Amino acid sequence: MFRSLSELEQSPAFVNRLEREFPQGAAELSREGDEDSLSRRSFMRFMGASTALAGIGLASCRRPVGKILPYADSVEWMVPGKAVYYATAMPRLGGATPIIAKVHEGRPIHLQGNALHPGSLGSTDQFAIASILDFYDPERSRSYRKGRGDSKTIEADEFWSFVSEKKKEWTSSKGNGLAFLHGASTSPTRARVADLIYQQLPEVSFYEYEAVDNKSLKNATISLFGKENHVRYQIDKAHRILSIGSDFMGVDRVSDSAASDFSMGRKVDHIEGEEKPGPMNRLYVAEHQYTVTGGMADHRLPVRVSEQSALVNEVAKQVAELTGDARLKSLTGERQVSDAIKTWTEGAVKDLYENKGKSLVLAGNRQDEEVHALCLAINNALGNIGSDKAIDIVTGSHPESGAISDLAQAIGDGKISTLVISAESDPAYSAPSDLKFDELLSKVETVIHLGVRNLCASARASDWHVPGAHFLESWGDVRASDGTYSVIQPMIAPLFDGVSEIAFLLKLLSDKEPAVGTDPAQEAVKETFKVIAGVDSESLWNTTLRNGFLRDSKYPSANAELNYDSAKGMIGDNVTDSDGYEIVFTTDNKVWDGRHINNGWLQEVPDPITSLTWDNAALVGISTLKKLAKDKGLNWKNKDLVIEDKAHLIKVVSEGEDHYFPVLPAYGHAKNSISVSIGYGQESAGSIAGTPQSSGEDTGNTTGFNVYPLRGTGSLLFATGVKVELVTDEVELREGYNTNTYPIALTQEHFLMEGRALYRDGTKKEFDEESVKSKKAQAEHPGEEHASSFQSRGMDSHIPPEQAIYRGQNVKDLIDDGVQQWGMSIDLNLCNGCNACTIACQSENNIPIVGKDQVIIGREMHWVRMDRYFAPNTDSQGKFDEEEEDFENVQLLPQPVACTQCEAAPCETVCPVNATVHTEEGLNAMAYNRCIGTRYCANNCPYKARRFNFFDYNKRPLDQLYKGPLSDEDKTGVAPSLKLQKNPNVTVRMRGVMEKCTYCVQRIQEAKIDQKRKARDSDDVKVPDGKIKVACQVACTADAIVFGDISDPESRVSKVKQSPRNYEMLKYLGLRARTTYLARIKNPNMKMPDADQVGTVSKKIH
Amino acid sequence: MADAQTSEPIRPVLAREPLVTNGRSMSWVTNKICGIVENRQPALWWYLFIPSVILMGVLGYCLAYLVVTGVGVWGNNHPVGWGWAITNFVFWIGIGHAGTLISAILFLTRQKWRTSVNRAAEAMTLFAVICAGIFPAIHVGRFWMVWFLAPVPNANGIWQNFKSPLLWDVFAVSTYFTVSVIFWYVGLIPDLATLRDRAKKGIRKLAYGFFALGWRGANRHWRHYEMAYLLLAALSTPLVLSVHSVVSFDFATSIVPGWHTTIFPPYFVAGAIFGGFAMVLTLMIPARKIYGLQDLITHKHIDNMAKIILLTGTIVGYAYIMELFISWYGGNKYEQAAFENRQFGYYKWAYWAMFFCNVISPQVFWFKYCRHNLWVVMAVCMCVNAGMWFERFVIIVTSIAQDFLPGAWDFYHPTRIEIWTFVGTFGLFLGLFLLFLRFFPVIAMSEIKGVLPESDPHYLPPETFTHDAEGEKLSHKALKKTAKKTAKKATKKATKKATKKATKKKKN
Repeated sequence: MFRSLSELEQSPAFVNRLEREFPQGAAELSREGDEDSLSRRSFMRFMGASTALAGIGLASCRRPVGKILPYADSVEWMVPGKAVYYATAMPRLGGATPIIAKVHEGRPIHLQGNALHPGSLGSTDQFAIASILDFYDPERSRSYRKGRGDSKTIEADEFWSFVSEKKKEWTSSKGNGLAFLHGASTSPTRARVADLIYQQLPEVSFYEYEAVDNKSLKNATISLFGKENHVRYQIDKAHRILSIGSDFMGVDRVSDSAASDFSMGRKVDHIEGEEKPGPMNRLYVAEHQYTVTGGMADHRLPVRVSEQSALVNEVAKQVAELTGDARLKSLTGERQVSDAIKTWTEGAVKDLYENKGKSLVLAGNRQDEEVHALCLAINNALGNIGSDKAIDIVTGSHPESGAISDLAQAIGDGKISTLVISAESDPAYSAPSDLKFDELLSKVETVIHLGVRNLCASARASDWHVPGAHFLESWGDVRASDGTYSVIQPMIAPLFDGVSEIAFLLKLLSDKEPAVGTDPAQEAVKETFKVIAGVDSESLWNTTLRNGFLRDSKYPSANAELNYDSAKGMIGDNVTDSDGYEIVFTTDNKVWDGRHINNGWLQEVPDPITSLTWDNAALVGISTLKKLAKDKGLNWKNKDLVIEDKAHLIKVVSEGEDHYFPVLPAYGHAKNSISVSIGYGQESAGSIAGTPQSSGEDTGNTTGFNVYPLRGTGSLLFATGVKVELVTDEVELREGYNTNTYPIALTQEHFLMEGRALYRDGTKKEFDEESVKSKKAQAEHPGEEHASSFQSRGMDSHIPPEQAIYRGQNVKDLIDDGVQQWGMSIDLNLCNGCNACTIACQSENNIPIVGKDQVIIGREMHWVRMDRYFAPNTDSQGKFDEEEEDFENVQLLPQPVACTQCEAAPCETVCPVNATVHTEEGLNAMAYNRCIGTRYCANNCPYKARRFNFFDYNKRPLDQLYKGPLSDEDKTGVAPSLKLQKNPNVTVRMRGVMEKCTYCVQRIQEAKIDQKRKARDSDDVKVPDGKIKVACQVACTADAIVFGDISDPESRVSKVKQSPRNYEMLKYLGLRARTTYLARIKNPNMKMPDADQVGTVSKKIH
Repeated sequence: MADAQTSEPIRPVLAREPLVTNGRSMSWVTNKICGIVENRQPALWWYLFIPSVILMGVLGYCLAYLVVTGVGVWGNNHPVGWGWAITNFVFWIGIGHAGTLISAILFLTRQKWRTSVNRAAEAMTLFAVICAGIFPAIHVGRFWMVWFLAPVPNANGIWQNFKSPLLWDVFAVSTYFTVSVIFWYVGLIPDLATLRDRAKKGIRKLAYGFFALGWRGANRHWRHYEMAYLLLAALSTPLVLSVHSVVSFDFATSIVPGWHTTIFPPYFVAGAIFGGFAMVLTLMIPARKIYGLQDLITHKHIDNMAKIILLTGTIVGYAYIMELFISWYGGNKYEQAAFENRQFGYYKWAYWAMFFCNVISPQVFWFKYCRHNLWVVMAVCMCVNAGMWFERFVIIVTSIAQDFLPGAWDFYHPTRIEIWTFVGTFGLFLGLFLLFLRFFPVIAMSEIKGVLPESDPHYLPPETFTHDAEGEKLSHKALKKTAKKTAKKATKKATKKATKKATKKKKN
């Protein structure tokens, strides 16, 4: 055989060329197995190994880059579609939320908690997860601006040259007249840099401002335990908890891990192969308004905030009596409480006392210093303070800064000529109203504002605005609430050239241009790190960056003694209880203090209690609202309290000014108390917050109602003695908008379960009995189904026995084909309804927001929604008087609902085009490209888990949905920055397409591919249990969601589903849902007055 | 019949009420009906037609806006995926049932009174189905992908889901429409030929000539024609039952409480006939007056149709009550709640409006006076038209607005676009019907001639005078004479032709 004529000829020229092309013995290189020769394969193997090692080495010690370059040219180790995860932390009030950011091609797209972090244990909340949207906010500040009011864009140099001019002045005056107003921060680097400035300019002054703070606890701690001390709550150590107005699982951040700590004490099932859960904790909550914490309570008492200090006093008295603690007794005063409070506290205190050393009394951020001091003294008397107790007094520095009232004083005295505002709380908008801070600012010669939002009131009131950097794009550091030190590292170069606070301060310190390739902020953080770690170790720095925290950097326990004398000095008897209405200023579950106002995800996520979106409203108890109506001569029944999609208005008169708020009837609310959340009603909130209020009823470019004007220095937490009345005639709500009602967007309008056993609950006693029974039944009749009492409630008690369709065939063989079968379990006992899962799902799955008017119509797109029901107390028949019930003592039952991936899915049979089909892994999959949008599937879904894109929500600006292709603002889509957030592994759905939860199928696929790659030729393609974590599962701080392979009896989800609490919602329909729920177990104290009602809601349903 | 009186039975045999009153002749029928098409339309026609065209434009605008913007322009939301659109679809489809029932089932059962209403009813059917067909097509999210519903082999290898009742709908409705068109057209052929023969001008003659398919009225034509018509009637008959049964499967095969009901197929069919007849009467009573067709569409026809309305209305009422009974008797909590919500919930006004219109109002037809007073008949028909729309609204919206999980409940309100789309379909329906009146014989001439007493082969005309085409009185004898003459002429002609042919053949 020959390949060419020249080969046949074997001419020397050809042989020569052939030799060059195919050298002799070249084939030998490919000989496998020969030890001595270097085979092609072994060559590849060595090269591969060395590359991989180099990769690992690189991964663990990243090149110390000072600048991050935009991802323009493809990077060798970056695989498109494959996420890279980095650890960082989000600075929070009193601590931090350690975060793992999922980064795709250099864009952070999703945030989740850092489970390795010892202080947070992976806890996150809606704010932390949604903060990524703040980062991509199209209306974030993008440029330096100059001028008050209508400012104009300037170059950065103009500002900095102004500053360097100023600096000469400052140096000569030692900084006299220069003041900084910053937010609360636990950043050691900021404290250090501020200190450096202070050393350079000793006359400079620092002030701290947060609209929502934990100052009362801090002050109480300082005066009781000493200057350098903190309170560290360790809620997992407490078996009996009494919370007085503390929403510690929600917005009152007592620690970074409060919710997960609490849920640890809530676990009741002994899962095979896992540690046996300890005794179940018991939670008593006295609060004025329902909170997620109150929802988890075993016993809850609605008490006005103004009465809560009397309640604490009563608790202290009773504790003193039981413990015989005279010192505690000396702290108590003579305060009258109602009989209801008395009997309630007696029961609770006895229980606390019986669990001495393992109990906890906490007060919320809405309480003043006295209450906190008294609570600490109570805990001291009960022996709850100690390093292994629920309260640990730890040593850690408090940054020293003045309060905003001091600043106001100084400005008033003309002492401040230059003010640098970097407080995120927007002081010009949110400062106590009696300070008239916005007016004071006009007295300051130069106001410089540094912040991520240039729309806020403070930015508008400043002469200079410097665009701030988000924590995802800047260097920084933070200490968690337990003291664990974390470095904040940037995920991406600043999107809009923002400057972080540390970088800003550093630049004030030194004019010098940093060396090329270095970042002064990073250097500064590294410097701090060296001090805190105590060593100068590059590898420890890298480890810290990789882990997201510095190991063993917790605050040490202080073993401080409680100083009763200073406690006594703190507690006075000056509080007088008033009988009038009180108005309580609560932290908003969506916008916090107003800083997240332009965050669409947070705006649209329903409030966990009221299910209100895009607004705030005054919450008033049913009987109080009826009373307000009666004052107006109206005889309202329960059905009159709400109007469809609208709310009545109330008028609050304060200092001669009328303030109007929409009013929502609130369930479980204390009488004569009105709560309004802060943060809304900003003058210029941004285009997302400023979407039309409802179609056709545009009430202006603002959202919600401003409560701050009601809030003075003396009434930061609540105000008493306000005059409140119901509005019946039309009033001018905003300029040119006259109305007597206000359109309001609730995602859930019906709050009663209507006698359907959708949500199941029980008591601890009942659960223990059922556990024994089911174990016995299992032992006696192995393999047979045994329905526990939780499983046979409501319609489910009428399910006929299952008849096999495939007679004579072994169904097991048909099913058991080795394919993994995905399933989920949601533990209602742990879920408090915080909505973090909803936001995480939105972030992971590119779920659009729809705007207020669309929510009013009922078109929200959340794949996992939080149904919450209120269960009033009933008689033994499960009946109550719907007309007369005041719904004050109701139980809150939150239930997350997403697609349950029914095995016999009713949606699949009805789709005419096969757009929704079952995968062999048991997922109810959506083929978005195939969907034509008949919506039949959604109609036939009993869980109503399917979401339809009624408009091009992903493409059109929110206020122009009805204009379709004629929408003039950016016809091609939403703001480009928002597009950067999209997960590239999930389709962005167009209009006319149905969508729904698919158990994060992209994560499943990724894990499967990964496993197949690992398995190579072997059959080991099953993804190991726990490898796949779906977005909601990771987000769930309480660990309520378990996901995995239900065909594997060893998987965690299979084991969890073995619990007698496991039930399938609407099992009666025979759909074989893959997502099942675990009934909520309450741990009532049988000595409490309402003990017979607790945990018996579903039991009464037949 | 003078001799008849002598052998009069003891109890007199009541004469059947004639189907054509006033002893109208065949030529009168031809002149009358062809006259509608050939003469100018009355002013009222224009007063109706122009608004109809405007409404058609509104419909077009609404549909275009919907398609370019999204289904969001309607009021549908998350629990309520189907709102007015599917309500309207079922409403129009239901109306379409009377036509085929009259033309097919009554034809097979030899109900001769059908002849004067079948043509218009069939036309109405077609137009109603056209209106109905709009809604399922445009209610989808991605209109341009509707072809996915057609079994077109494609590269994806994805086929339709034959388990879905929605797909059955597509086939059922399209089959129904196709067969109805053919049936209607076949029935039209002899009459089109008459129009062609009478047409004078070019285009008219050409168009009618084209569609008359060369009909000459030959014996062989008639034989084939009648066989075809009979077969088509037989083919259409099951369709009357199947289409609305299939439409009802859209709901009955689902698991939604209030939809998941086995009674639906017969209940829907009865409801459809009920609503269809009401619509026939709604259209025919004014048309009869405007075009002076009182002799052809007599009180007997109206009476008959009113009786059918009474019957089917009572069936529908039975179904309503049965649904309630079963929901109570079945003991299913969700089912019970669904019906409780219908009667006493948010949409209770719709339920009680439906109940009054469909069950109570037709009960007046027990009384002959009410069946004969056209104002009462019209009022009841209007009630039924509205009631049948409410029925579909109640079934569709109330069931899904509040189904299993109270947490997901929400209510539905139509938008202006939705309302105008529905109003627009009335414009389309009426516009098409007016065009039908303008261009087609509104009553089947050839068939109605078949029910005239003269067409009976054993007919012995009375010894009285009858009218000729010009209205002149003709004696019976004279008529016989002319008949003999023409017969003789005809035979002569025939024999001549035969001989001619024979000679030709021979020559060849």
